[in-house]
Amino acid sequence: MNIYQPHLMTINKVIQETPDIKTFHLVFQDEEMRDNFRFKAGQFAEYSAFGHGESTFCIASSPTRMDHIECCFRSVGKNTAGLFGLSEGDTVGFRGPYGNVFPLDKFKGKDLIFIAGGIALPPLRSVIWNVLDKAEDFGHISIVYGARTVEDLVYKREIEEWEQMPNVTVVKTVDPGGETPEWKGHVGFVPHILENEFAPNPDNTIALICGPPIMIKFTFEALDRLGFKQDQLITTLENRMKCGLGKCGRCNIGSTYVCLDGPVFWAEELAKLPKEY
Amino acid sequence: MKTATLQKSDIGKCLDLLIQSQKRVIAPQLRPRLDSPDAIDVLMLTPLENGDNHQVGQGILPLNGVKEFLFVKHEPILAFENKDNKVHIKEVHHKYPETIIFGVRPCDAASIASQNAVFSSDNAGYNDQFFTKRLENTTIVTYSCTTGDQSCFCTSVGLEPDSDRGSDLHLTELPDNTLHVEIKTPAGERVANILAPLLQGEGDQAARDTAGKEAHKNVSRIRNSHLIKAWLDDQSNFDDEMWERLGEKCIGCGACTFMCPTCHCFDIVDETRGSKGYRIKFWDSCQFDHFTLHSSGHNPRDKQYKRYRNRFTCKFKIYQDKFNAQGCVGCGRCIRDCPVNLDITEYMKEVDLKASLPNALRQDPDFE
Amino acid sequence: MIEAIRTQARNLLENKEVDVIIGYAEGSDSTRTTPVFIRKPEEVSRLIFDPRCINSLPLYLNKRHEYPQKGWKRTGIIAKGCDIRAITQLIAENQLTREEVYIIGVPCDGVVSHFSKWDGRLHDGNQATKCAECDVHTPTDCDFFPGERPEVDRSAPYKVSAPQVLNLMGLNTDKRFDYWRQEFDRCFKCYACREVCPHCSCNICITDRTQPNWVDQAAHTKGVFAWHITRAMHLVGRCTGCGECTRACPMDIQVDLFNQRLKDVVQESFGYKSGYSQDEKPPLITYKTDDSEDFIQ
Ligand SMILES: Cc1cc2nc3c(=O)[nH]c(=O)nc-3n(C[C@H](O)[C@H](O)[C@H](O)COP(=O)(O)OP(=O)(O)OC[C@H]3O[C@@H](n4cnc5c(N)ncnc54)[C@H](O)[C@@H]3O)c2cc1C
Ligand code: SF4
Ligand code: SF4
Ligand code: SF4
Ligand code: SF4
Ligand code: SF4
Ligand code: SF4
Ligand code: FES
Repeated sequence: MNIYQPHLMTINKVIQETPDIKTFHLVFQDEEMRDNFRFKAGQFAEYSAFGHGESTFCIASSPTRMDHIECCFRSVGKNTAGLFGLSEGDTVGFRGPYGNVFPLDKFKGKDLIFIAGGIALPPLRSVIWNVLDKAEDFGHISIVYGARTVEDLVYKREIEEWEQMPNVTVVKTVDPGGETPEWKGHVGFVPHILENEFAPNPDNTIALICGPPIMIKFTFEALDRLGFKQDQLITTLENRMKCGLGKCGRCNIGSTYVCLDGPVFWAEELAKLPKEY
Repeated sequence: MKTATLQKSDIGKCLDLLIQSQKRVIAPQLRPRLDSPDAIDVLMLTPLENGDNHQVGQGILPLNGVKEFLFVKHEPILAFENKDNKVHIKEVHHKYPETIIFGVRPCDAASIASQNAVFSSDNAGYNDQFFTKRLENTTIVTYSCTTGDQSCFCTSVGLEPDSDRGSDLHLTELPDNTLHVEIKTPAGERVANILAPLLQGEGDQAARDTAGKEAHKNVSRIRNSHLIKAWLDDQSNFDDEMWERLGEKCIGCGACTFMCPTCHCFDIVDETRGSKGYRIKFWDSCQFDHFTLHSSGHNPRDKQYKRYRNRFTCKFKIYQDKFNAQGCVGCGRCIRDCPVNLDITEYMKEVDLKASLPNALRQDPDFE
Repeated sequence: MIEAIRTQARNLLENKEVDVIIGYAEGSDSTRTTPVFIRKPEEVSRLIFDPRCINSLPLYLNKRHEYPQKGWKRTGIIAKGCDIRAITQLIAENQLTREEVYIIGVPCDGVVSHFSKWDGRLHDGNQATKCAECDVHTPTDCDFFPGERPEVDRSAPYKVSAPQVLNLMGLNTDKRFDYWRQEFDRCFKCYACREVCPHCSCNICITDRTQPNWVDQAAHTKGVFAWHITRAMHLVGRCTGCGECTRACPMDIQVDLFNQRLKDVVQESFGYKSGYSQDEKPPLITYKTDDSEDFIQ
């Protein structure tokens, strides 16, 4: 089997998260793969709608729950539109897992803050469930999540579930103008709400950030003002990818290939890279 | 190492012998052209039917390097079919015929190691079998250069016009119209065995070395490259004014990358006809504006000069850091074929100057 | 001549009448010249003009090449007669306004077809085909011209296409197809022929669009033919015959033969010559790139 060849997976369930975002529950068609497939939180894969191409999404489910694999994606282009058109029972291609992982060992005993914007919650969701399933290993969990409008929030039912958990604080926000009359969360951009409304204490805390490059930048700055050190901030990048294997040459930031050396980076590692992400 | 002597006039017979031994033989040949002042001689490595019209040892470099016979321009990597509402996939099996590429110039031969460093399992353990299987079945017969043109600069990047890197069987032209033959590998030995009827005695090593030294003198474009890597490693130089000043004329045509024997970038798309289709891997270029464009509209390399900065960095830093291989072999193709005369050696010259200047001078804004 | 141009360029920059002068400078070896952007008056001595100045500089006035982002209010440009035709055409297609450019016209006896053919002088063996048919040795519309500019009658139709176009037209369809198949076998779709063309001005070329996918992206026979037919069709009545596409092709494919042939067709059918009038629109300008007629594919 060549390195570009995908495994076939069946879509067991489709969840319409927002008008243009869907979640798929996927199960390997091959029994051996079903039994032996392993991955770690933070890794990504290449998903294909045959005839449309391949797209890079993180694996959004937790490695502690292996009955199926989840991905959550927005329809933005050729292949994502192709995937968007598929229904339960249809087949998709899957190559992976690729990339590095969130070093959960280093998070043990610490408070964790997950900060995500828009479609960037799925990469963190894998870690969130992983951590919640092993809650005894970690301190307090906070989740700061924002989207453009209420409609654009993904995983609405899980957010409710997290809000009910004793060890979890959820801070929800939508961009100004994106709220509805029933909206009970904050209104404002994620970095602003994080700094001024939530204002977490940096002691013994790790912040995991995921979002578009501009949001990562402002969030880092806000956390810096709150007293977080570089070695307390970790993020995951979304450079454009094709192969995921370090061959196609598309995802590099200088000598760093995001598909091989990333997508997970500590802030101090990012600071050493040229600003090409 | 075993050596031999071959008459230069016997090259055609060599090619015939190899073709008769059921090998695919590729050698430089001139393509027929329309008679027009705008038309230029087109020298191409071409699969041969016989040894008649070869141009081995003629001209400087064929337009195409060996690259397109290993990392081919486009190829299916998967077949799929939608039948009864179910997707079936099939692995594609290409033929990898035993191939001899005859008359490869030293820079092109050296580039194979760079490509291999990307595509073989040396790179993160992932083996691109399409490349590596072709390479396994390919024998490289190199042919030393006797001179370079205005664009060649192999001697500035640690190669020589008579280098035998990447070679299985190495030929060097001597002044008496014979060829000095060096057998470098078992694959080269097998080729030599086929050519045995035409090979004579031992080669004249001393004459060969003299010829090599002569050729070295004929590569006239000389740049210092040993300071470049360290300069690129210094991250403050990422925002140096040079990048925009030298790069603003670049039009992002991608010719330099497609022509470059070490460029390895590709794209993957699905092509469908009815219910069947292929997934295809084909050449792509970091000089294209949409190469790194995110679907959000954000582009990490949003200006053309940044794309060329990536190309230069790729050749003189990324290849070394990431693949432990040589990024540029000095073939000069990107110089010959750039429509706006953007010249990689101008960057080399400028970086060398900057890197060898004391800091105080470097920071003087009036200094150019 | 070049001294008069340099003086004018210096004056323009000193008086801030233009932000930049796009011109030619010595290239990286003696056979080549290079486009150059002159911003400081003291740099005007770099400007040169001779038969090695092949490039069609109006390319840099094309919006695709980051021209609008440079923030230049007025751009000075050194232009041969045929380059001015390209500028005129850009204006006719509303890609540019006349006020945005300050045209420094140069008298031109012809340029070399490719740098590799330069042997120190211009002669029949190395002159670009377009120059043999040229009626703009003395440019048409310009803001500055070194010396006297004689009146030239340009009412005559274009000459017919270069001989090699006619030779090709003389072949039967199968032979012609074979010729192109053999040439296109080398094309790897680097799109240098597109990027170098002053008139390829689409922000996202139809070949780069994926929804729907009009043109197969890979460089197999179908993908290559589809690309070249698309390119030829989209430039009908717009190509000003600069020959840059052929010169830029790293695989040395004479892609402008298509455009030359279509130039004749447009002239025969519509009496239109591109690049001679800022007001007259090309006959097919109403043509839409998302036209779904199958002749595009
Ligand atoms: C590590 C990683 C993890 C990711 N995780 C997720 C995830 O969990 N969920 C998710 O939804 N996404 C994720 N992404 C982003 C996702 O990979 C892309 O959105 C997806 O690949 C788009 O695929 P596509 O084939 O639909 O897009 P394409 O068909 O390739 O179309 C979008 C692209 O086409 C080009 N393009 C074509 N026409 C235009 C035009 N008119 N304007 C602008 N651009 C144009 C652009 O280059 C653009 O990026 C991730 C990316 C990475 C690298
Ligand atoms: S960068 Fe240019 S000179 Fe160097 S190997 Fe590539 S094409 Fe040749
Ligand atoms: S120069 Fe660009 S196209 Fe070539 S290998 Fe490097 S990244 Fe790829
Ligand atoms: S450097 Fe030259 S060949 Fe390369 S993309 Fe730029 S203009 Fe094209
Ligand atoms: S076409 Fe005319 S103006 Fe243009 S380069 Fe040739 S001779 Fe000069
Ligand atoms: S420039 Fe030449 S090789 Fe490149 S796309 Fe055009 S015809 Fe093909
Ligand atoms: S198609 Fe070719 S000849 Fe015509 S304007 Fe464009 S680059 Fe010039
Ligand atoms: S995605 Fe292909 S090299 Fe990283």
